Amino acid sequence: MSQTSLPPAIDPDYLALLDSDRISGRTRQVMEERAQTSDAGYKPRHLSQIAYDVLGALSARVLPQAAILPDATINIAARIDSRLGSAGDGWRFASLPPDIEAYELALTGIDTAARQRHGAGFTGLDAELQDSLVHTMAEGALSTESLDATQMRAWFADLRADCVQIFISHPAVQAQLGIDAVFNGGDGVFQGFSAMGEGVSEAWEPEVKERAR
Amino acid sequence: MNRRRFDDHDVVDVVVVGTGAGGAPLLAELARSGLKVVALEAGPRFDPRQHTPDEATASEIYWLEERLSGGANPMAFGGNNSGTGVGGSMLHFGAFMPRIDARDMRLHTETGKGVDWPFGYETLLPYIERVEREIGVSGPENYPWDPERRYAYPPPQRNGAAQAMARGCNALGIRNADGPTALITRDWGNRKACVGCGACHQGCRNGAKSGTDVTYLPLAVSAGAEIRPNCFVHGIERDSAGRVTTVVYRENGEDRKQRCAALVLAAGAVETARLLLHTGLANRSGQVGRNYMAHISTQVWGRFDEVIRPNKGYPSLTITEDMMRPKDADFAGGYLIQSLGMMPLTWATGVARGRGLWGEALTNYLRGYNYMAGLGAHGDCLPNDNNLVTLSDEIGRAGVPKPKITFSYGPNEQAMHEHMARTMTAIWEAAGARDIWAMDRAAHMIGTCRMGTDPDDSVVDPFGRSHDIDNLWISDHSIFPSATAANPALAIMALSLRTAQAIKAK
Repeated sequence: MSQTSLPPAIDPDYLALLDSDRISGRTRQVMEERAQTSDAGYKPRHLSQIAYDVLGALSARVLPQAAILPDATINIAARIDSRLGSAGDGWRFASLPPDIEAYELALTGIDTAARQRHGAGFTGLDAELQDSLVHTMAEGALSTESLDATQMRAWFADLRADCVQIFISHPAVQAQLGIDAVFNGGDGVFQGFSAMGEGVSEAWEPEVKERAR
Repeated sequence: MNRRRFDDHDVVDVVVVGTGAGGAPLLAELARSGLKVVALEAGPRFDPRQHTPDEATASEIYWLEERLSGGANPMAFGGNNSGTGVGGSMLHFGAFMPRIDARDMRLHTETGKGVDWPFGYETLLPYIERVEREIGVSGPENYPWDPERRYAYPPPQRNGAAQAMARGCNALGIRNADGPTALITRDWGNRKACVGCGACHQGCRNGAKSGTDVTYLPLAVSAGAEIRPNCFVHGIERDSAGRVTTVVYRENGEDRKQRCAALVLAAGAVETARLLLHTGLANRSGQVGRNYMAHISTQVWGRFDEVIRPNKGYPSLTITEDMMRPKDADFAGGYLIQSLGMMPLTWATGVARGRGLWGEALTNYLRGYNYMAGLGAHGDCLPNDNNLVTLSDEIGRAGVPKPKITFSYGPNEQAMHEHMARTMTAIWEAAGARDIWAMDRAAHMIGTCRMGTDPDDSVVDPFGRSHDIDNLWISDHSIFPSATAANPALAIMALSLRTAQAIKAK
């Protein structure tokens, strides 16, 4: 897992919107902080090093970033580890232990399963073998020492949610996708959106590079 | 927005626990009649101008204390249905404001399933109309399913999802309209008209959304009520006759007490039940925590050829009530359908959890965000012995055990979910959507302290008063005998006004 030392670059047009009067001061500050976090050299604070390394490799298989961020990656593992120290999202599966414990057990369990099945830890497997383990987990067929296959499947849903939340919240990703949710109004003038509907964009809105496919 | 703080030793007339849809209308009504009232709110007071469309940060208005979610259909809490702060869950609610269908209040009479409410729709209607008038609700000039109905404000502008749903429904002959929305589309006093910013669920910044924070709470305070934020109630003291004398709450890490002549719990179907189970009160019937229900809230998503930008505009404007009793139904009850725009993080979470994508397929699907639009249903749910709120063995805030919620679909819920998925898929096909998929989902929390006339079978009487303790009342969705298909806020507020009148009459 290579982690770039610089945070993903953001389009100048989108940076200009971040500087515009269409975003509140508080939201601008949140987005700028997030944009500038590099996480290079991040050391896990809640997960063991082994679990953290597995998380790095696993998140790259669960949510590969290159199709949206070709030149840099967001360190999703670092953001998840950091998140594990704060309040969660208000609930957890009753079938799983608290988040920190569930992450540690699931990740070390995947590593042990990799060794048992393929003779190497998860980070040492090629992408195809990593994917086959993920697939087994998604199907509810990967039981580990501590968590059974149903628990692993439930945890995998939590992992997917954590990955996409961190990813899509990032201004570099929103810039690439042309998402303008944070530009819904500033402190001085609360503009909202005026022109809306199918096929309608306002002149100031960021370009949607993706075409419907 | 506040007045002086009552002294802890003052015996106030009424303490209200919670400032959302259940607590606030009642607080205002009691204050206006001259009673000394205090609302204890577990969350902080937010400055509306500081609400942010960044969803990760906006989670500050969600109830984030962990709940344990079990059963065959474990529900999401937090941003899905549970708020915190002065204004309660109405700070983040979606402002969709349909009225209950009268038939849903006598489902048992109609179908032999579920339970009837102890009174009919005609009892509730005057309070519903009063709430709509007092908070400001927008809606169409002619509401197809209730031609008599009038709304004070015209609907907001249709976004992409709303247009697509109208087109799909029209193609199939399904009646549709702009739905009733609890927001104002013209300035009203200090409140500004909705500007279509799309961030209803992250907190309304200009007072357009008719939550209690800009409606009943300011009224209550101007009439002398006190709102005390950051106060988590965890104990209830009683006298030798068993009547409530004092509420115990934690504020800034310290336990404090407020004496009161009457207590109203308006903390929601999970927290109200949790407090009663923790204190062991008002549960002679054994019904506290039981009859937990949710709305069956299946969603269908699809990709359109034209750009949608689903974060823009009021998220869920188009409605159809044609599925309230579909002819081909293989279930009791019915459901509403609304169009769905959605903010990116919430949408991506649904994709990740509900569609089960991972790998390149997940990344590629996320790339299409700006072309996505959805449909969402809310359908009735039958009470079931196995669906309930209990206390877990894990300690939570202020030493109160974390609640565990067990929820599983029965055959009725499963059949309804499948009907919803079929119907909404057909609408999206007719609208020209591609790559259509359905997500199994439940929303809202209902039941756990059922109202009824029989003290052996219900927790409170038809006015919300405990059968066991005559100065203890409940005013929130925990008292609903059945879920009905309507989003709960309007009926909670209507019942809150009705309970206030009953308290005044004591």
